[in-house]
Amino acid sequence: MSQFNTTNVAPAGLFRWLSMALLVAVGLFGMAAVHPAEAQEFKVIVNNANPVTELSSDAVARLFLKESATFPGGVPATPVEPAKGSATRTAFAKTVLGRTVQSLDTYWQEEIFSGRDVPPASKSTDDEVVAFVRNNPGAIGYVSGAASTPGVKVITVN
Amino acid sequence: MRHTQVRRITQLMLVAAALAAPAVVRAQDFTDRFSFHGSLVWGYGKSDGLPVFGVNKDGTTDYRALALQFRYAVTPNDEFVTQLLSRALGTSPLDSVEPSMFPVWAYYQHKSGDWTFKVGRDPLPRGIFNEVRFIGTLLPFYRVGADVYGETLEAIDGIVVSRDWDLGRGWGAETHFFAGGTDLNVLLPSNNGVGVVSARLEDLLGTQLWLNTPIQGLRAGAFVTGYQPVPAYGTSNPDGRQYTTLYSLDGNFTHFFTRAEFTEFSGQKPGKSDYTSWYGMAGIKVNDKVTLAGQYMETRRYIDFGAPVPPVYLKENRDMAGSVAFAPSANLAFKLEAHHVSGYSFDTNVPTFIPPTAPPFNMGIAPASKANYMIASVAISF
Repeated sequence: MSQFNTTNVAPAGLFRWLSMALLVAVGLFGMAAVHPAEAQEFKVIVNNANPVTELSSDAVARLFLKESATFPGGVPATPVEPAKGSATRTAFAKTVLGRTVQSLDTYWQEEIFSGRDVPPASKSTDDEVVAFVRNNPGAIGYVSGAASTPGVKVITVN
Repeated sequence: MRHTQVRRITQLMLVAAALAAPAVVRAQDFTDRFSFHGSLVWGYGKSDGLPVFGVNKDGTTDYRALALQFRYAVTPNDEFVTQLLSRALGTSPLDSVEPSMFPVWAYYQHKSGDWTFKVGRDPLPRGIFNEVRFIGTLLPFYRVGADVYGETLEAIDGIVVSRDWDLGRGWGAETHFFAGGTDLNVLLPSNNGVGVVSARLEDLLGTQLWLNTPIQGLRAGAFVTGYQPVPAYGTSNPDGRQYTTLYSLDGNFTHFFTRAEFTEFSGQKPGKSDYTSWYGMAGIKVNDKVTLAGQYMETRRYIDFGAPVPPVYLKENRDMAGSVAFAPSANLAFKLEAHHVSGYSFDTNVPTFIPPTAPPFNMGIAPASKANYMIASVAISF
């Protein structure tokens, strides 16, 4: 801010060029397909020592979004989930968390880069999720409906 | 970062480390406990005239923000977190005062139930975007509300205490309280051109409150803080303290979003604003991958010339912008945006005041200068 420079720039061809570029971009990408979530059964499991036998869908969502750190009753919770890209994870995100995988990824980016938290631990296979839950009293996980779940408790999600 | 700040942060971190339960950590445990995340936004910017936000007429690709975050979980409830930031700001004078890479955060975090405690150089909860202001995959524009957030109050050297509240019937609240100090960089014109004035804001106390409504994605927020600038600048209140408020309305829904934020910096005179700025933003999520957004931002500054010339509220800056973003995934986004700027806030001096030559000594204001600029950018995160 001073009084000795006099430069006023009228909108020139830049905006016309940009408008065309924006339209082309929308045309090219606007038809990009949205992949629907692939529905698949899943089971929510907790450690056998955990007194919980059923949870509301909202309570499960709060644990996996780390909006709540404890089970109802105060037991500290450690969520664990299958690896990214699994059909089980997609179905769980849609059914329980009410989000697409992409919007869930965006949610976790916001959590990570605002310094708040990181996503739950992920395991490569259902067996690894089951083993983690079996070995950690506060763990809660989910596996595919067909998975074997020895040594853990399947809970009801309302 | 000054040596005194480094020393203070180090002391705070050491105290935090001593408080955290020491653990003998095996190699496998280390990999389980350690996590690494990063974000890069890189752009090409070009103005059709005046340089603004580091973008000039020649065009620049020296325009990026890289954030690297390292986290180590001592226990499920205790973490050490640091985030390094490297920015290139094109031709902006700010580029000369910022280190090539520096720890924008370095803190210890402890969770206890719904409470979270941070100590060290902490992210400062302020408005919708403060903590993620450089994370390109989360923003509809290269930057959001630049005049509202400014080059200050980004992080706090001190403590932040946070708690979430379930108010029932779908209502919720987030409360954050903080104390400490922070940095301030301001672009100011002088006879030698536009330069950067740096200061510290010490003895800072404040709060950020969020009210979450039963409508998923809709929330309202208020941020209030008071502090003592060091060295003092401007004409201060009798107690020397200055104040900043920020009010936010955030609606982020399945198919569209709309946001508005208003900030006010005050302190020169009781009851007077030194600086106000607001922006409104709206966007349509065409599908999972394409987003169209528009934004309007306006900034006013109170300028006291001293008697006998009356003060003026200068409409310092106005920015109208539109963008299209294509995001194949949540971790990758391509953006193209165009801005039309008018006012008196550029990276170089522009005509602003016409001094009075006779009574009643009202300061004349020159016509606003104008520029158009565009930024094409790509953002990734992991």
